Amino acid sequence: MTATAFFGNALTAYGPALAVLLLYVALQAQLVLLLMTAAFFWLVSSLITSLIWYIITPMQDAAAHGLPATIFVGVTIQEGFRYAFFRLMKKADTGLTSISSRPTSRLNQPINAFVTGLGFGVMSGLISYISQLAESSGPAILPCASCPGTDVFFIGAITTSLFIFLHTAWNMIALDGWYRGSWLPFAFCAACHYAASYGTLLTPSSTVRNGCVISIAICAGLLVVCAALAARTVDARLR
Amino acid sequence: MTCTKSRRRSWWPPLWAALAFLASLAGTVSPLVSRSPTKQVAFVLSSVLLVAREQPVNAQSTYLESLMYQGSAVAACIRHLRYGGSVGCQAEPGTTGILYMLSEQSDVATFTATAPDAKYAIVMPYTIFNRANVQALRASGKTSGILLVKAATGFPTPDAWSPDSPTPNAQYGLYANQSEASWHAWNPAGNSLAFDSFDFPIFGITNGPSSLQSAVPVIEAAMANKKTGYSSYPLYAVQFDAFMYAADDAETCLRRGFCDPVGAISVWSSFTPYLNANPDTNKPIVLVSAKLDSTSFIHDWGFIPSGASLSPPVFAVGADPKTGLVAALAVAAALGQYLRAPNSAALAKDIIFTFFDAEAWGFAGSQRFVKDITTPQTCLEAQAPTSACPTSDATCSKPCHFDLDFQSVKIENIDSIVEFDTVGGINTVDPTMYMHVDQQSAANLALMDALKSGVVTPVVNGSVPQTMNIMAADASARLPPSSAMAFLQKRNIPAVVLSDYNTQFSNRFYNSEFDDSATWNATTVSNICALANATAQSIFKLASGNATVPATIVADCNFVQTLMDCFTRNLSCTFLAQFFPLLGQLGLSQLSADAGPFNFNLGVLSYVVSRIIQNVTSTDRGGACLSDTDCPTDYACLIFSTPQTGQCVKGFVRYHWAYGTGIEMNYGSSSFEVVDPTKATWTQSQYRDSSSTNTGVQLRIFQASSARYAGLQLGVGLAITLVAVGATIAIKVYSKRRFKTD
Repeated sequence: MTATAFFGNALTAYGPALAVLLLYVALQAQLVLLLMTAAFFWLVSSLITSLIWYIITPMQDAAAHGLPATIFVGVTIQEGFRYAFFRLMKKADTGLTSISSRPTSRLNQPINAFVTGLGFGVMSGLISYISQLAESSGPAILPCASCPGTDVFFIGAITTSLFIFLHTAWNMIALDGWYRGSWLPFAFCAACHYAASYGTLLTPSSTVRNGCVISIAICAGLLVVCAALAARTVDARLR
Repeated sequence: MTCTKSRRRSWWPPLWAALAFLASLAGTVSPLVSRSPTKQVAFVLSSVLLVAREQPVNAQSTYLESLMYQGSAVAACIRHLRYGGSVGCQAEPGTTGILYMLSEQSDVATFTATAPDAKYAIVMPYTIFNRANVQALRASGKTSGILLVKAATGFPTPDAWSPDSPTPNAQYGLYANQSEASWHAWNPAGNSLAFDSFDFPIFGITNGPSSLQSAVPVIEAAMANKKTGYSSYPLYAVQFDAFMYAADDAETCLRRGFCDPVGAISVWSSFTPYLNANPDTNKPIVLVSAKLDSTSFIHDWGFIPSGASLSPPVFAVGADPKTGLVAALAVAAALGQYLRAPNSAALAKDIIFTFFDAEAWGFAGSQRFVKDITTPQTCLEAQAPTSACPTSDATCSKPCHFDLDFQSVKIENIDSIVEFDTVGGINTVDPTMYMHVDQQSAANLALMDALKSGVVTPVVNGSVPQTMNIMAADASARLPPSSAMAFLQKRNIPAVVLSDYNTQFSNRFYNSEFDDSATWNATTVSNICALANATAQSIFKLASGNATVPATIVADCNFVQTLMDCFTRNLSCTFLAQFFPLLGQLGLSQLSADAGPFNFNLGVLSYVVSRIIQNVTSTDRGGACLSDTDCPTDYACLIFSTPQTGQCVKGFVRYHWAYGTGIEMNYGSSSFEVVDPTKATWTQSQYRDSSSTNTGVQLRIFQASSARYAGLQLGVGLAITLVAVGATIAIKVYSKRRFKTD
């Protein structure tokens, strides 16, 4: 029963990302490298967030306003690193195109944005959920306060899965905007990121009924919208 | 993806990774066999996940576990092994069960018939914990473990309950060679459950004096489950952790090093002039004896490890046997008051006090003492510690002994034995004390005659004075289980066992968890004091040959009251703090009298008894001291007025190992081995998880989901993964068709 929950959570959280990784990204070495680099950038953003969290002690007080503050700092720094990574990629753009399997393709930039976004997402998914996943192999569950009958780890698995692809979509939208010299798409992505992250605060809430459903619905709704916008960036290249 | 060759090659790494992942899920991948680095990484990753669960090393896991699991202070029925078999319980690693409440007999049938199919941890009172019910619960296939609740609301105390046999330790006693049918049933309440073998865990919980020792969380969780009819998940469940290494029997586990002999440390003492006597003289000895230990079905771990977050409850208090111990100490104190006086005359006979430990385990303490005093021994190697004698306290390491002074106690010099069994009159109507002897021999009759008395019990805290007769017990029952038997097996010595029962134990909770501080009161103290007073005077007459008893030989009822309090209700009492200052700072209430694994270390009770007896038998006192090292040889630093300063007190007190005589140290292999299957060979298994901060017995309460819920999780995981696989392939196929040029 506990192993069942573990594999169920593992597949829910990482199954879709793993499928894309194995069936698409892993087939091309330069994409793997891009993904790893993006993942590293996310990791550094997380490190800086945790340093700030460590230094500014009021953020550690989860009972007060520590949690919203931490989310604000975390999201801001992640988005900052998204831009930093874009600047790096832009510098390497010519090189990246030349080592691409199809150097003449119009889709190299969107594909690179997709893969690096996936890298961002996968690393954020691993860091934020792997401890919970490990705990879910134990006999106990942590009941989800806002949704009686469910447990925090399963809700976390769904959220993780959604966030991986949200990061992918945001990266495609934001990078497309920056390539065109527009900051508006990035601003939209950042706003979505704040919305999705603050939405997750509803999951452990003991006052909001069905908070976990609302949280997942926010993420899923944003994913539909953002995925459509991301698809449009690909479409626009081909016109 | 331009040519087929490179395309095929590019497929290999993900394929390998996927295969390795699937194989590691099935648990078939061995990194030693595998040469593929991808496989190894997959294996390492899955191992890391498993390790992360087993050992929460990072802060997040610790935090999550603190939210998910609540610890509960428990003790357990544990595995004991003897020559030829084992008894007690075992918990397989990761045994869990949903809490299920059984309150009365009818609930057992309800459970077996109606409980939904799952594994349950049964929460039940002792009143319905019997062999028939345990078998019914086991046969239902729905029981993973049992939680016995002592003394909590809704969990009544049985009228009589003893897990020992009706003829306790008869196979190790004086009548072992006689037919089993002839053994006298001293313990009619005995159900022998302690000698059953259970292949599942049985833990004990109770409301201890500290908030950390509470049965309430478990009971409340079980009640919450009951309210939902055990069907509305999540339900509260527990995990039993008490995996014990030892299997088969004592010989096997000792050879494999998975068990320790059950044992403790006996104390023996005499008045200071004994030190100066020539051990080769034939001076007769009067032996005054009592036992130190008790036991229970749920076994205590012993002293609480420092740093443990939960202190385990104490189940083996043994209040009734303490009455005998306190009586013997009171006799020593009464005699000491006279012998300490400068004008006191030397006694014609030596008086030796023996306090045997681990007596519940085949009379381990008395049998070993008698075996050692009747076996000529020379110290072949003095240097200690050694691997066979791992204690620096030993003055001889081969054979391993604290010292060889016991050789001066010659069995042929023992003139008479007076032993105190339970003498508090707990559960008896009148305070009559009975004298038990093996045979109605002239010597025994003479000894009984010397001890016979009729006294009025003193008033203690408002107790009613009664006439106490000390008289001969029913002759046909012969000797009850006692330390004297070990001596009588070697030589026919006049021996009397004093007790408050005639032909059956007055103690309805013999060697059980209910023999606790609640059983005794002021009348008990009055009885002990009256008997100690009369016996001290009789023993003076025996030892001195004088018919007149000095006025100073009188038992101190305050001393009796204080000792009973300290031993059963308040271990950190100010009286004991005089002898063991640390004890006063620990704030402990109860003291476990369970013998436990023999590890050459002094238990708390042996230590405090040795200090008390040193103080009351001493005839010489010296200057101030901070510890024993500040005092001359045979002086102990006692009577701490403040935690820092004590006084040097001269006395003669010795320790003696107390573990079954069927087990001896093999000095070649430095390990214990079974040498005599007919003697006590009790050993106790070691635990997997015991450490300096962990007793190895743990219970965690948590909420568990149903199997259906876990199945749903797996279904969702598989479904969305398959959807993602399909979508990825579909997009690839679509884009390949549409964007031929890109």
